[in-house]
Order: sequence, then C-alpha cells, then structure tokens
Amino acid sequence: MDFLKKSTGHSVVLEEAPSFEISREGATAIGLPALDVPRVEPKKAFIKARVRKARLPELSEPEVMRHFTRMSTWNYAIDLGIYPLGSCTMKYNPRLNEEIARSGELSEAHPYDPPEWSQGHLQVMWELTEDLKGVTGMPGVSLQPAAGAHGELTGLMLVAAYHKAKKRDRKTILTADTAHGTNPASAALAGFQIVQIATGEDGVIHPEALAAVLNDDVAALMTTNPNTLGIFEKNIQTIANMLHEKDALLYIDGANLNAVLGLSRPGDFGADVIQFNLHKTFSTPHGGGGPGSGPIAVSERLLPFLPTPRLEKQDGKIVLVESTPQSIGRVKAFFGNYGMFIRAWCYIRALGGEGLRQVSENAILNANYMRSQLKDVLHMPVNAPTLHEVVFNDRNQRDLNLDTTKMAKRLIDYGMHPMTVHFPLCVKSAIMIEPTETESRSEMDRFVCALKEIIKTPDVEQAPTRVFREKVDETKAARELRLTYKFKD
Amino acid sequence: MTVQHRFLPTTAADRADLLKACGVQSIEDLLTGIPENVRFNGTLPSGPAQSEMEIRRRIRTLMKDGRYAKNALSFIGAGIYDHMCPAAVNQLTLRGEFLTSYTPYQPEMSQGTLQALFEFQTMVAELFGMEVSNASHYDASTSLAEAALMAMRLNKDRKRLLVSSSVHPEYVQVLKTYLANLGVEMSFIPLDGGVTSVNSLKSLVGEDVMGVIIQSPNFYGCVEDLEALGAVAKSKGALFIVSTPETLSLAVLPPPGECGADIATGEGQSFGVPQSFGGPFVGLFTSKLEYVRQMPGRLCGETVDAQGRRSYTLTLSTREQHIRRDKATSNICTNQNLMALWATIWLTMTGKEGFYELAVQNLSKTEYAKEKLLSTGKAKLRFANQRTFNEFVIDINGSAQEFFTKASALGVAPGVALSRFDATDKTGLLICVTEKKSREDIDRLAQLVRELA
Repeated sequence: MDFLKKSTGHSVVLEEAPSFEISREGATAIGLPALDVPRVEPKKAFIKARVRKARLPELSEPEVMRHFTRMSTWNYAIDLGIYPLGSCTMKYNPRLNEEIARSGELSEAHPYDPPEWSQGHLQVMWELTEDLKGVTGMPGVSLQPAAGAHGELTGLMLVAAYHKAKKRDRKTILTADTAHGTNPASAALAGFQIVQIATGEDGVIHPEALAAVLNDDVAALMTTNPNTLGIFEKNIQTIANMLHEKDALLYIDGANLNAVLGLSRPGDFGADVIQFNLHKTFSTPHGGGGPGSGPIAVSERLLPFLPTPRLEKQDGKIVLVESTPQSIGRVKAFFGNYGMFIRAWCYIRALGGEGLRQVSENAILNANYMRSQLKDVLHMPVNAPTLHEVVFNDRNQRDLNLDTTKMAKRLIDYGMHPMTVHFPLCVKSAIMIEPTETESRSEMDRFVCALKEIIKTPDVEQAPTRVFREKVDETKAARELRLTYKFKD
Repeated sequence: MTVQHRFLPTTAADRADLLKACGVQSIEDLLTGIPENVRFNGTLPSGPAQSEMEIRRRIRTLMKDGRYAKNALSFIGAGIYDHMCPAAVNQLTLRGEFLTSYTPYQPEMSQGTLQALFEFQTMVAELFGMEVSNASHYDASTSLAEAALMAMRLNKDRKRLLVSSSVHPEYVQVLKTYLANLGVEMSFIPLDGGVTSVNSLKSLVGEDVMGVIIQSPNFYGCVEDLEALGAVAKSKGALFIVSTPETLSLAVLPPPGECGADIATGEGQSFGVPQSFGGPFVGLFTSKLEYVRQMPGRLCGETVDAQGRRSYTLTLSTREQHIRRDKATSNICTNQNLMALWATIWLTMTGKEGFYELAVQNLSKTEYAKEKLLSTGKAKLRFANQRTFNEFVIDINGSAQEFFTKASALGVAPGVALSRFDATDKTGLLICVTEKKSREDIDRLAQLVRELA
C-alpha cells in the first residue's frame, strides 16, 4: 500500500503570488491589429470618461500561462482521483464533449442569429428535450434554468402558477428532513413556507407522516428520490396519490436521478415536476463550481405554465415560441446554458438508452461494494437497501479520538477528496459516500484502505499536513473580511 | 452480456467480483429497494451507443448551415458581445485540475480555484469601482433579478421597484418572473431621446421605492447619466442598482461605483467568453461593503493556514442555502466558476493597457460605422444626440426585419431588428461593432444597406 505514504497530486508544487503582485508595468499578453479606422479618444466621445484605468495586472503570455498552471496544481480534481461526495455525483467528464462544445460551430453562434443558421442548435435542444422526456416519462421539458437550484426555483414557480390559476392561495411546501438546503431556500424564494416531514426509521417518508400535515394549504411535497440516504422512497406511489387527491403536487428533486436511469421513471409514479442537474446525471464538468444547467420536466398539469421561450415544431422547422398565455415567463435571458446542453447531448448519445441504464446499475453496484467493505468499521444508522450512495456515521469511532470531520480531513493526506460529511441533516455526523460508476474497483479499494488506516490510527492530531496549504483559518477569513486584493497605490 | 462501454471501468470479471463482495447474485438483487410497481422495464429512447466518430459526424451534419460553416459576418450584440479571445484562455480552462474539480469547500485541496476567485473578485470590483464582488452568478439577467431581491431585503418596508425602460427586454422579463409571487410593484421609467428621463424618475420616485434599476450602456447602446439618476434615486432612500451587460465599456466609462451605485451587476461574457448560443456566461455582482451580508452567492476571502501562509477560503457562508436553508439570502448553490476563471484569465491577459485599447478600438470602429451607414442616405441614427460605446440604433429605409432577412441570406447578420422585441418598431436595427470587425466588414455592411434597404 505504497500510496498511503504520500499524497497524490503534483510532485512539484510552486508558490505563486496573486497576479497583481507579479504584474510589471508595460507587459502585455495580447496583441491587437493596428486600428484600421480613425482613432476616437474616450475623453472626446463621452461627456465624462473613466479617469483612472482599471488596475488589471500586466503580464506576458508565458507568465500568465505559468501563473494559472501553477495555481491549477494546488487543486484536486476528478482527473486525479476519486471524489466520493455523496449526492454531489462527481463522475468522469468525457473529453469529446469539451471538444465539441468549444468548437467554433457551436461556440460562435448567437441566439439572435437568423433562424436558418440556428436549425442545428435548435435540433440539438429538441433532441435533448426528447431524451429528458424519455428518462422521466414526463410530457414537458424546459431547458432554460441555469443550474439545479435555478431549476428548483422554476419548478416551484410553476407550482405557484398552477394553484394561482385555480384561484387559490396555497402557501405550504412540504419537504423531508433528507432534503438538500436548496429545497427550502428555493421554496422561500418562490413565496412559500416550509413544513418539514421527518422520515421514518427506515429512512423514507411514511404515508401516515404525510397525512398528519397534508391539508388544503399544501401546494406541493418536495422530495429527492432516491433520497439523500441513497434509499428509494418505497411509498412514493401512495404519496403521489395522496397529494393528488388534495390537488397538491409532487416535486421530485432530481439530484439523484443518476441512480435510476432506465430503472424507474418519476412520471410513472405521478411526479409533477423534476429538475435535472446536468453535471450530476449527464456528466457536464463541475468546473470547480459551475456552470451548471438545470432543465425541468413536468406533468400534464404543469404544461401550460412552462417558461418561455418554448421549442415547437412548425412546418418541419423548429422554432422558439416567445410567449404563451399561462406561462410563468422567462427565468433567464436567452435560451439557457446551451454549452452544457451540448455536453449532455454528447454524453447521452455516447451511452445510448441501454448505456444509461448501465450507468445507474454500475453506480449502484459500486456504492454497494463500498457499503460491503465499510459496514464492519463504520456504523450505518439506517439499514435499508441502498442504491447509488450510502450513509454512515461516526458512532463506532466516538470512543476513539476520531470523528467525522477528522476522518474527512485526514483523507486529504492520503491524496483523496473527502466524502460528504454532516449531510443529510437527519443523520448526526453523517458520512455520505457515492463513488459513481466511473470508479474502478482498485480506486475504490484505495479509498477503503485509506479510511480503514485512519480508523486504525485515531491519534493523529494534525491533518491535513501533506498539502500545499494546511488547515485554513476560516474564522479569520470571516472576521477580518478580505474579499479583494489591497492595491498599494 | 452487454458490450463494454468506454466510460465504465468495471469489466465483466470485475462485475462478478463486486457482486460477490456484496453477497448477491445479480444487479437485480441490489434493486430490491425499488418497488415493483414503479420499476421501469422498457429501454430509454435515446438510441444505440455511439462512438466518438459517429457523434462528431452527426454534429458536423447538424451544423452545416450555421454561422461558422457559412463563415458569416455578424453585427449582432444585444447582451452578447463577440470579442477576441487569446488561445491560452481556452487551453488553461481545459486543464483537468480546473475543469474537473469540485466546489472549493475543502480549501486545503482547492487553493488554485480559490486564488483565481480572489483575483476575479478583485478585478470585477475594480472595474465596477465597487467595494465587494461575489464569486459570480449565472448571468447578467439573473444577477439583476438577485439585485432586486437584495434591495427587497435591505428596504423591507418598501414595496415599489422602478426599472428604466432601456433595460434589456429579456432581463425585464426575468425580473417580472422572479418578482411575480413576492408582492413587489414594478413600474417603468420612461425614456427621453434614448436615455432614462431624469425628470420622470424625479416624479416617480418616493419614500416607498426600494430600488431604481438603470442599465448603462442601455439596451439601445446609449450611455446613461448614472450620476444624475443615482442622485435622484438616493434622495428618497431608494437603492441605486446598475446593470452593465457590455462590461468592456467599463474600460472607458466612469465606473458605476463612482456614480453612486449601491449594487452594480453585469455580464462577464464580454471577457472573451464564447457566445455559445446564449450560455453559459458569467453574471457579475458587486455592492458596497456595508451590504455584503445581504449579498447572494459565494464569496472567497483571504486568510492564513496553520503555518501562517497566505491562503483563501469560501467565507460568510452563513448567508447561504446549505447553512441557512429557507432563511438564506438566495437559493443559489453554485457560482459560474469555470466561466469566472475564463474571465479572470482573459482579463489577466488583456491587462491594464490592452483592456483600455480594446475599448478604444470598439469605440472607434463604432463611430466609423455610424458615419459609413449615414453616408448611404438610407439609414438615420435614431438617437443622434446620445453617446454610445459599441452599439447604436439606426432607422432604416423600409422594414428592418426584411433587411435583416435579405442580408442574412447573403451571409451577413446586420444587427437585431427591434421588431423582435416590439412589433410596432418596424424600422429600428440595433447594430454592434466590436474590435473583431475590420474596416472592410463595416464597409460591406454599409454597401448592403445601400443595395438592399
């Protein structure tokens, strides 16, 4: 187990000051063609022009290249190793998708181009829409939302519009205690109040618990399925029926859709709206935190309210319809994060319908393998069949000098990104592991081996130490707020 | 047995081993948690698995009539600007350590992303002349909507929001959608000769106005008198919110912060980010320091590590959804990180002098284009008295939409026909001229106006 002795990453890691400190007057990294029209000075063109030029750094091209390349070596990445982040789904990003999305054919198009030039792009959007309908078994899709949380907000706006159209004022959104933080935040932003339902001991919502809070003020129930314990909500059909009896809606948070591709479709059990996180399910790169893309799919009930513009086929041509009578309107300028649609479209084509199911099957197999390897050392608070992720806690370690946070930080010294910790909130000191289908057995074994080694050696106090920066002082960052570089002049 | 797929490391032999370790016979045994009545037993309709070769071929076929294949010329701007981008920007953002890394919640293993964000925040704040910038937002339209929500939080007892009629129509639509369920009364400030009427603002503003939203350069390309408008807004305690879709203009125009902006937002797409048929872009969001706790989105701050070395970390996360849930300042989870990195590298390469020079080229070419188009005798400047940066409106002889159709059939998109946004506006054409248009390109546009309008 040689890898236990040193962390991975780059063998040569160099310090690099912020660009403003290495900047030297007169240097530049761009060349512009000579101006071929008469020069117009800003001072003459405007009543008032900017007085002092913006203090951007001045560096040559090779210096810029080194600046950012050196900084890149301070990052961990899926290209370096496993990211077992439960619910965040960090899987390999196929590179063809980058090549195509960045090619001139796709990256130079403008949404206001003449429609004749845009048919290819609209066709891609159309086909992705059909793919998403297929995956969910739901009849309507909007690609517009810019990220998963934006999709949630959009979905909840549709819920609001649905009840408004029925001339009633429903203010309550029910969520489970396994919900992501974005759920209550999105609901609040859409003008709703939250009532939380506790999941049962088996980790799922029970019809009785729902019945206790279901009344005429409930606009929708919002739940992730499979939930953030990795458990499929086995009562989901009953729950959907109960909601629909009250004309309340079922919102499925699609954050874990990657677990059930081709295995279960939300539309089949009565989901009314779901958001996709294209990076989780369809492998668009995480990019260190975006760009995301959060399309939504909806049931018949919500079709009239979908955002505009909408894709439609008219005389064999695909057009964007700018306004429809009951639509909530636009949630973002232009047509959504098209560059991410392309990547998802490529990913889906690369796998095909059969391959998508294999993705979910292998994700489930890998997560259950992790479970089988760790269940003897880590405590499992909810013992139920799990799909693509598995949740433990630190109960077995509490008598040792070890807890969830420490285990996570120590993993960094083994050259691995920690798993998700302290989430879901319904499990105290949760340890949430999702390997995804793109990890090989040997990568998973490295992780298991490292975690077991940590548990065997609980007395290591300082961690991480084999890193570019050791424990970062977050309290100081918040107390002595420094959000920008302080220039000397 | 299924065919081994290139994305999946698990071979048939591995699969057998893993199943054995799990103590089960088949995958089916691991799916028992999914009740039979909600199992899907069909095949998803996405067709067969395709090789890289097949996917590339399909894309080439689909894009054969596109702008790129046609080597077309375009003068379309309207919120998305076609600026030069050095090759190194694309190359650097392809590095796996940036492209495939996670959100920097573990600062010890994401200092690269964090320092880049710190540089981004610094440059964006500097350009806007504001004290604080967040780590980026989805795009300018949603940044502006979040700014309105922030004004709601800061001015809790006020119900009205005033929006200039020169704000990008799609941004206005987004604002309407965001505010629909929140009890805000939104009204529009009329224009006077292409810019927001200061006098109208004076009569509209009152103690019940939470914020005033102005775009500059505005949707018609005209530079607004931010100082005068801001003074009126603030005289009644309203927050002054500025939106700048064409942020290259900040190289030569007074920064919003120096004109009294409380919150200034914009679009970082101008920093070489590909047009990509409308996204992903990078929303910019800045404010005064005193409002930072009401700011939406991620913030990166400087601190030290256990050894006292300069380090960075995400900070003030107690504002955010993963901590505060329904009490968070926003539901936003992500920033637009890779595009923020793109903008950071672009700004670093362009540099202090290059950024200014680029803006001067835009300004000069735009003035040249105006003259050339006027000299055709078939076009008039709609707002001849206004100052513009790289966009302006002409009224063309006849229908702008017809001219657009005819010119684009010849491989030139001559601008945006304003009838797209207002059916009664038959003659208006919004034209954008960036540094990427040569003198010959502009002459060709003028020639088309002469021949087709």
